[in-house]
Amino acid sequence: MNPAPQPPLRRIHLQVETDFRAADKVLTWFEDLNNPPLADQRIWWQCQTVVKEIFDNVVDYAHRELPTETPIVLEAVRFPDRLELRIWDYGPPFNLQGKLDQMLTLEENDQDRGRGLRIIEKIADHISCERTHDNRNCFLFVKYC
Amino acid sequence: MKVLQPSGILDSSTTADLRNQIVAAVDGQAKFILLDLKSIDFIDSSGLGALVSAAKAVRLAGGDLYICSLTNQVKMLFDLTRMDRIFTIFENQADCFAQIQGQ
Repeated sequence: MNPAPQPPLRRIHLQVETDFRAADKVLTWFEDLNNPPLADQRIWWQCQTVVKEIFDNVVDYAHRELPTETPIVLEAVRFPDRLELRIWDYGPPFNLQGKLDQMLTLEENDQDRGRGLRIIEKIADHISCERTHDNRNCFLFVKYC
Repeated sequence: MKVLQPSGILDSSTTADLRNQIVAAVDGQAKFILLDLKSIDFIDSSGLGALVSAAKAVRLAGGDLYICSLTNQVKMLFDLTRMDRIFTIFENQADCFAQIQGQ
């Protein structure tokens, strides 16, 4: 018999426009999930980093050809044992594993680009990117804490 | 040695300013530059990329770029991305001066 699913301790949502200047708003919004603070603050700094990297990837790549008004929707959920972060974008279908397969590892990379997705992958216990029925991408990040 | 001490967040919105400061230092004949990051409380991959790019420019001019005083999130990301392969990193300014001048 499977254990009963844990109810979330806190669930927060945010919608922002496709604008790098919204990054401050995203980080301030996410701060709400660290109350009470995680036992291991290093995990919290890692999750903050991931939120910023995923948001930047949407603005920089997924929504590159789309107008500023295009909404980016974020949901962050804190469970007793983990954090889950979902970000929905209106970009073209994204092959997450295919992209990772093309990228240098963090240990190999001496260039000034190409670290964002690798950082997310390294911090995550699980990542995925699914196409939704309304033609959006939903990027999921899970980190146990 | 020219010491630069940026503050706040180091991401795509602030890297141009840092790059300008480093270019100005190199143009002003500074060979060695120490970036003191004690007032940077958050950095992302764009910020890291700007530091890598700045180090290349300084080395091309015959000098080097050192980094010191990493705060919590910054140290976490430097460790995760193995920035110690690319930069010489010091605890603080005094530590950097002592080691560089001792060479």
